[in-house]
Amino acid sequence: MHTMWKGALSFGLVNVPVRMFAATESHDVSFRYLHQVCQTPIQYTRTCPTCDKAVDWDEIVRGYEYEPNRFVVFTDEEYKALSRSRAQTIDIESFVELSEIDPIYFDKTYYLAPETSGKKAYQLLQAAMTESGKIAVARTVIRSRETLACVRVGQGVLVLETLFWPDEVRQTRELPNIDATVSAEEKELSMAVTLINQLATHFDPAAYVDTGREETLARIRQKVEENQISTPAEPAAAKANIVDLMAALQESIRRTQPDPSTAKSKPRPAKRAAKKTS
Amino acid sequence: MQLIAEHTVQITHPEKVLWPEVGVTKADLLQYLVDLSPHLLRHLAGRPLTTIRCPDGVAGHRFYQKDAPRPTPEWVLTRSVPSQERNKVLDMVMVDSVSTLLWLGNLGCLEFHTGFDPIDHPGQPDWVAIDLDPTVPGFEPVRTVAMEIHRLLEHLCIPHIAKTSGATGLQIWIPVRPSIRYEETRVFTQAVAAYAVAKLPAVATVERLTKNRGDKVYVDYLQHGPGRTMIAPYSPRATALATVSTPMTADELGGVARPESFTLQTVPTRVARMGDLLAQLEPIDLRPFTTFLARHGGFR
Repeated sequence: MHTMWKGALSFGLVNVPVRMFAATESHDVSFRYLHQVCQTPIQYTRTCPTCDKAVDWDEIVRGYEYEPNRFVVFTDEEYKALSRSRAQTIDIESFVELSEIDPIYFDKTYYLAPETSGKKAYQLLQAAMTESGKIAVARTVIRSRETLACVRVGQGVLVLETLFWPDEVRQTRELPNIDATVSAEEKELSMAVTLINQLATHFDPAAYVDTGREETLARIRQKVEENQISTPAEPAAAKANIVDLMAALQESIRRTQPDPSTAKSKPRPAKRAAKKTS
Repeated sequence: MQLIAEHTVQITHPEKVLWPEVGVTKADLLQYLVDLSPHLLRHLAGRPLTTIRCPDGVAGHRFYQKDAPRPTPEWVLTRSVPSQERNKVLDMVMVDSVSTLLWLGNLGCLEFHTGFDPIDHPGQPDWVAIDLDPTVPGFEPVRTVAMEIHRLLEHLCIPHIAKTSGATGLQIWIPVRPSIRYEETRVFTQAVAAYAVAKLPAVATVERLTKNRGDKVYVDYLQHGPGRTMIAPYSPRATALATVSTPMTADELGGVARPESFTLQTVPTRVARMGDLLAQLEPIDLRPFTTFLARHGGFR
């Protein structure tokens, strides 16, 4: 696994040196967009409609649209000054019950593994957290962003879950038709509970497979086997005629320079002999 | 020991052998730097220096140095240059005098590397270079590719000179009028590289990964760009044979010249006789070429 961060898990006077690894990965089948005619992958260019030209990254600044079509501009330096520098630590601020944090807050999950020098402290913290049943609320900086997180024990290791900031979780009062004024009858409720209990089981991750993805992959394999493959009409075509292109360039240069004897292609004879200093 | 040029330079252990295989000492290096100083200074002036230091000679430990060596005499000119790494500023040596050359030589700075854009015109190179790098030992394939590029540039009436790297490679240098930017020169260098590969598919490649290059010569047009450096003309190399990065004529390139014949011992006489071939070229406005290639070839 690829280490994405190195630092220390810090609380009170204790520092546990750890490395962080992404705990999950997406297995989406991703498609590229091709030009239908020649099957070449589409290239995207950043263009400026005012200047009518392609724009390089070094000509680009960031603008915040504070109202439609009005921007405040941040240069690279200003933007850098705003982003947080890489944190050296994951700072544990408090310990709470896992049930207190609604899963809605969970964003991304990372595994934490101890550095060799931190093995013992890591084991100790893990055991203590298992024993107390508490999880830690912590702050750190990930990818220049101040990040709220919790550290818990899961899969037999310490796991860091980044959390959405509370103001990033949308309010439920914006939802339609949610009102508590309609109350269910006792009988209806007990029937619903019975129904739930009939379907109750234990969560077995192995029982779930992304059948949609399997079908897509199977169809892809089939197409490959049936040799329904296309190779783009290769920019090699452009490369092959580079020889012609250079000939055309030479011709156009010749037209602009009617007298080739004025062209300065050859070194002039050495005028300057090496002068000695010292 | 002291040497007096524009300033007095302290020299330690002049008898130290820096190139043991060919018996070249620090005193020989200093003599070379003095002999070549008019040319070295012309090419180094105005460009922050990256050097390779071998304090104990080419057989010993070596390291790249961009920051000015400490202690820095007060007469050594330095300029602050933002580093590629974030939040770091380098204090880089600007070689502007014979005494600076001697000071560097005394510290075991054997190689002088600079960028293509002068510090006062950042992003605007006044030289364009196409780097030819053999994947397997041997100069002949490099010569073949260089001759192909030479013939192309000659047809296009673009002034140019082939220059040995002093190690295994070779570069084609083209003097350009300033105000052209790297984004524009890239169009040209890329097209020249593509041309070389199209003409010599069995010999030349633009493959970036060494393992995929086979035994072909790498036409490295990416080595010419912002922040990139190249061995300066007439800089010694920290190689066993005390070779020097040396410009050569088209006849020499097409003939029998071999890079290892240009050394600390042979180059001073050669340059006294022939002058600096690079200084004899008239800079060219590359823009008509880049505009044409961008418009008709889709190079960008």
